[in-house]
Amino acid sequence: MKFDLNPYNLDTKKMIRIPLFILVICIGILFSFFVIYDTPVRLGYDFTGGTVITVPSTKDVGYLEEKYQAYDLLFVRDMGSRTMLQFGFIDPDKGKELRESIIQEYGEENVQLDYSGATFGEEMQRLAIIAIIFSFILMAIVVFVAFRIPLPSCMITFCALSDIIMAMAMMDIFGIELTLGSLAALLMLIGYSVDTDILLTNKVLKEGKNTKDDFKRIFNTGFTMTTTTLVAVVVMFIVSTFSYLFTSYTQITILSEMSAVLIFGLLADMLNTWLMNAGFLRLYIDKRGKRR
Amino acid sequence: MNKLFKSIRFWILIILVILSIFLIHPTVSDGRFKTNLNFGLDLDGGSYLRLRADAVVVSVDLDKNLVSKAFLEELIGGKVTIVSLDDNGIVFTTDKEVPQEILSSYGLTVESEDGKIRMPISYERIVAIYLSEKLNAEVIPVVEDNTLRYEIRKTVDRDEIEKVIQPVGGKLTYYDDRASNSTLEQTKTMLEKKLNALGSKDIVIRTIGNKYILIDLAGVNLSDTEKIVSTPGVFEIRIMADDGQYKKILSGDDIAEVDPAPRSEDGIIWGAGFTLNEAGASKFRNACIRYNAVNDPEKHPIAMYLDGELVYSAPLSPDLASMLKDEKVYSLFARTGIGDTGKMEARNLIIHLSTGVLPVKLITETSGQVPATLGDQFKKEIVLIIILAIIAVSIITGYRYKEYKIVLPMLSISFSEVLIIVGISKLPLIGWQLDLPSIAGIIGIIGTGIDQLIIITDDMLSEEKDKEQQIKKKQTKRRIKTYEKRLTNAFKIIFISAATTSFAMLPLLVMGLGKLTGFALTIIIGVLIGVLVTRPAYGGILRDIMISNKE
Repeated sequence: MKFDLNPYNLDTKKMIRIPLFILVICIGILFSFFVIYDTPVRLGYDFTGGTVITVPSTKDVGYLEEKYQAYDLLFVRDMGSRTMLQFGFIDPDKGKELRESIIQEYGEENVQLDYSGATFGEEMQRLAIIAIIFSFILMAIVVFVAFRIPLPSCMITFCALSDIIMAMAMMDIFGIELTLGSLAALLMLIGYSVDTDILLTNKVLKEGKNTKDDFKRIFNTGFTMTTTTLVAVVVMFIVSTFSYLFTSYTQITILSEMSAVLIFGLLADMLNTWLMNAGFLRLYIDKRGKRR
Repeated sequence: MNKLFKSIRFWILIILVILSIFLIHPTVSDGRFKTNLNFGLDLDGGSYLRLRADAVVVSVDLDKNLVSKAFLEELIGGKVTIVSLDDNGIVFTTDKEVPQEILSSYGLTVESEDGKIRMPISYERIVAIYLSEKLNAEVIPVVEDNTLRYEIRKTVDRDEIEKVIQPVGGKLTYYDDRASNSTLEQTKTMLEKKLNALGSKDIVIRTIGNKYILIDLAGVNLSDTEKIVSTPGVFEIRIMADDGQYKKILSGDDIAEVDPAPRSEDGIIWGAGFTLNEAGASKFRNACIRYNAVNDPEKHPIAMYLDGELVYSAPLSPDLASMLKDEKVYSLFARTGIGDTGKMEARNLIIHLSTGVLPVKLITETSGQVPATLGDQFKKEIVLIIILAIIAVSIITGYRYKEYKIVLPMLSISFSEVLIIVGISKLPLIGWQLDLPSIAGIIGIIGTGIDQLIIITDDMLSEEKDKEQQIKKKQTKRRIKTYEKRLTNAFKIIFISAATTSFAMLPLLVMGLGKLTGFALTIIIGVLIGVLVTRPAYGGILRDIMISNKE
């Protein structure tokens, strides 16, 4: 494959400024969501408590909306051969009533149902934050131990942070809630998105490959890496989200959310690795060279 | 290529792939493709429940004198003066009458000796009863980690307990909203017993941390699962007296054992077998004689009640009736009917029979069900995703390398990696259920796996052009050395990135965050297999290909 795009052609400062600018915008998005909704990303039923029910497809959304309005129905969504109804957290007795009514209408064997309690949701929020922090710390420890050079290691960790922030901002833009699925994807991004940074930093600093041609070669490798993962994840996204358009299949929500977040993160990673980290490494080598 | 077949790395891979295929055990029967794999509920259909005990465990540091006095005053309802206090009990005086019925409800006794009253009681019982009276909940002393704690069988918050222990000079030294380990374990065992009787092919019940009980039931819907779990079993066996009324003769305590599964002596008539204990057997015989069931079984049928509801009734069989005339009978068999209906009813009866009251109330934290038909559809979609993902990855790698000698090994390695992960999921001890998140993990591993193969390939090929000239004239031996060095370089990067990916997944694995354990496990195992088995094998294959290309 011939890649004529070589970010190395850009001015070093520009290389760093572009992703930083985007990062600032993303932080702005997360902050405004925090101001409006109290959380930087909107929380799904796993974290707030609530009920998600899918039933064999009904086109009459208005009927569903009217019938279940009393149960804190948040939204009704068409997902192919099935229709999804999402409810907020209601007291258990009412929840039972809702369930019985749905089962009566569609038959026990046709109803998919997931319920999560409100207190449990709070506990999960706490655990999710702990999981993200620990994931991040463990990843950072591996990076620092592996490279033993403080500044570039910090940069790799910073790139991972930036990947996560950008992915979360895109979740806000595209209306994807934080569920267990998207949380898993974020955690995977923490460990995985640094792969290309590790490749780049190792090649440039440890193997001493820092000419323009070297950079182009590393970029080719890294770009192919991200592309292969990206296509695998895009396939997962398309099949789990849109296959119902041309088959009798149903959306698989958890896979759809996971793949969307992974796609966001991988795209962010391209920016952060090949502009921010690469720009930083060029500056770092220049400075180091001058000192010598 | 001959060298390849001498390489240990290569053979380890081949052996693992064969073992995995053996574990997956794909077969085709009735035109349907079948495997031996354990799928999660979201793919097989079924229901799940995550339950928390309605209880808290606390440790308190109290003033012995104050709490003993408060405890007695609470029981007696009047002023009490403590005379002495030691490990054997309390000696006290009071103007009030000591209410016997309250004492006996706690199994306590008192004896009077010259105006003083002596009550033998241990300190932890004093505290337990005091807390129980004050909080209006059952309180049990438990020993955990060599520390005395109290299990309060009701969710009470910290402040409420502090309010209750403050007057007796108390300090709350430990608080956790869970049941004690032994209670949770006991509850789990009882639930297991109840659910096993349901005859589902696949029941997973486990405790998470020391807080939750998780139940996964394949092929059973949520309503049925909940009914079984929440059924508080007050079980009674009654007999019909001459006046046409049923009289209670046995309770659940009189049953020593219940057969775990329906039984049939002739394959037609089904029923549930159970065994009475000593006291139960003699009570049963006495009642049958007293109500004359031994002579006239048809007029005095035996009935079983669960929570006051009739669940079974039948007369004594003639054989049993005549046997009871002579001796106690321990082993009983309740016939339920013929065929599948009879078997089904026997199964339900077994659940009723083995139902003891759970020690704590359970609160549902999460629950849900997936219809089996939907699970089947998901499976098809997943197969489609995996096939399309591999095709998409082939196209990218094919376009990049344009050399089947590189692309083909790359894809076979990636595919064998998937096989090995899936195979490992069947292993005992570390095995797990393949649910939707695990499948997402597999897709992720296809992606990351190919990444690392690309790093190896590019490293091996990269300097090709620069150094080709130099190497050309040198011997093969020297060339192998160069390739080995490049491999080592590539592996450095691979090890670091494998470590970051798997370490970042560790918190998810350890914390048991809902349904994500399978995802974390799949990724970690996939990464390990990659680093330890498939990458080294690929490195070897690629090196041999490049050497043989040169020769």
